[in-house]
Amino acid sequence: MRMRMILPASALTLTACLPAPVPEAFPQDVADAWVERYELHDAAGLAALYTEDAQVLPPDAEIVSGRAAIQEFHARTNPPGSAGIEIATVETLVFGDYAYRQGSFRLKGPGGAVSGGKFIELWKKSDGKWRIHREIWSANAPAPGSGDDEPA
Amino acid sequence: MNRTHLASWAILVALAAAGCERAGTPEAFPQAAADGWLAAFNSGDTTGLALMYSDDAEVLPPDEPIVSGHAAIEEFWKSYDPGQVRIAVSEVETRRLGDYWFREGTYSAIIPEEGEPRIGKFIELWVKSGGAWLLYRHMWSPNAPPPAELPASAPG
Repeated sequence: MRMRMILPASALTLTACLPAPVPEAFPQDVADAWVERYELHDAAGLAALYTEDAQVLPPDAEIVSGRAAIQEFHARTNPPGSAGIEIATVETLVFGDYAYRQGSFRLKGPGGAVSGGKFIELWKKSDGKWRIHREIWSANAPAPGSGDDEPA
Repeated sequence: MNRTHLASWAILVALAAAGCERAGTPEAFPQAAADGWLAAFNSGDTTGLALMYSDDAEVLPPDEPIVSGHAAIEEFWKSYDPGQVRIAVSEVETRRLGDYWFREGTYSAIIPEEGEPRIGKFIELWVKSGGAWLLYRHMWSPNAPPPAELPASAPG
């Protein structure tokens, strides 16, 4: 009787007081895949790296919601021949099934022209896969002569 | 079950309940702080506005480099003509992330000399510091390029 009473109670205490699990590392491999697919102008491949209900918040444009619309956005704004991109991660925070990333980007234009900016992303893990759930970016200076911008 | 067993149970259950912070009631998004930001901006109180950011906060404005530090953030917001320009936010979504709050929404900036408000979207990360919820990261962009005749630093 004593054993039956004490064991479940001890188990309850242990379960409730376990330290918070060590956070996972930021999914850098997926972030690297984003850059590879961006430079291949692979809109479908890029869209697969976003959650089904992701939102992209581009500068000087309305929010783009959902994976299909995000694929169309990438196809339109990053056609073959577009600038390449370099991304530097500045800060990552991982919280269970969500992760935050702040970074900077540089666009490498065909003529060698370079423009840069910054971005913030919210990542979400579902079905065991990390994907981008929210993404906002902007340039560090107005685009010369136009409002054109490129995603980060 | 005798009294000793009952007492053991009570102690263990109490320990289980109290021993872990995560078991507490979830804290709500600090709406009063977010409302305070709007009130400070709309009344032109840039000093108060700057105090709503953490010491290590960064403001990430469109078409400008990152602004960090209370003094630089205060100076930055002065260029947006607070008190004359009025901002409202809507369609807000909040999510608790560990010790942070993530907030996303849309804004409307009414500029006296313009007929139509400028609409845009924002993302914020809030952090609790010294018992107060403060902005840690603040980023936004307009839904359309600013009118050509106005300076690029105009709100929107």
